[in-house]
Amino acid sequence: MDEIAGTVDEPVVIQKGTSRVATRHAESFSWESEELLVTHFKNARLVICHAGVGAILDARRYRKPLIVVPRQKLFGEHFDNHQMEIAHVLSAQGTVVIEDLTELNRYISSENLEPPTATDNRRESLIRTIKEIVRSISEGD
Amino acid sequence: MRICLVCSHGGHLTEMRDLEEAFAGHDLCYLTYDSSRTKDLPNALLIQNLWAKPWTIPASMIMIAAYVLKQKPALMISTGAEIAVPAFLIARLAGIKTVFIESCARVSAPSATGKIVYPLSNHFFVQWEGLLRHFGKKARYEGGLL
Repeated sequence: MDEIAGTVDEPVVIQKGTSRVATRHAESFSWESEELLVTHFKNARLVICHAGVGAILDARRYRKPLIVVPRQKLFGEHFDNHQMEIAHVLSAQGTVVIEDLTELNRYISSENLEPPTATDNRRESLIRTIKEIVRSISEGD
Repeated sequence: MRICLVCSHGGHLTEMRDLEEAFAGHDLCYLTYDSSRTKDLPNALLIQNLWAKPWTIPASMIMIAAYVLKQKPALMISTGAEIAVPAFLIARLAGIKTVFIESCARVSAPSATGKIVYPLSNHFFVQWEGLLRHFGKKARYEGGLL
């Protein structure tokens, strides 16, 4: 992403966690407060992230187009390949998922990227169920 | 009603936030890991990462027990990860109801945390139907965040 940052006109911000790579073109940070993270999300035209549920939920919350690059065990990026599972689900829902980084450039300038579709029924159903349990306990049922 | 929300500080916290409509309006306290993301939570016990620093587990168990006894939640809800294990053990000993929601990231195989806290949960949810076969009758599928 840092190399790509050197070739595009728009600012690139990278949250790099434990990575020690010093970026030359992109702005980067390891971790930030919730408030600053939200600001970055709100300001972004596009979010590129690993297939972590948190990042995907945030992209949906702030209605940002998303490109997902799952972490793979093969590249020492994760202890297993469980990210591939959620990546397949997202891909079936229409989110761009790439495993080959050489494809990244092709999608970054695309104007057809969509925010992750909200699977509202599934989400509403889970929230409603938990809400009912909470209500029941609070009323001492 | 006071509810204790138990989760680690990354995606599990984001999942908890995405569920917040389910417990809005109640008196919330957090049990989570100390991080730049959680440091500003208004009512929280922040502990060291139990996975990364397992030697902190004994001291953290004491801190969690003291916090739970002080806060006296009627309900504890967790989205994982391993922080749920000591929290649910203490909750069950204290007679606090527990709700666990397996992460949305777990599509075909359960998490280790899920398997451990299943017997400690009054209510247990998976977010993908295919996961039900890994658990007993108590586990429910009622939808998911993605």
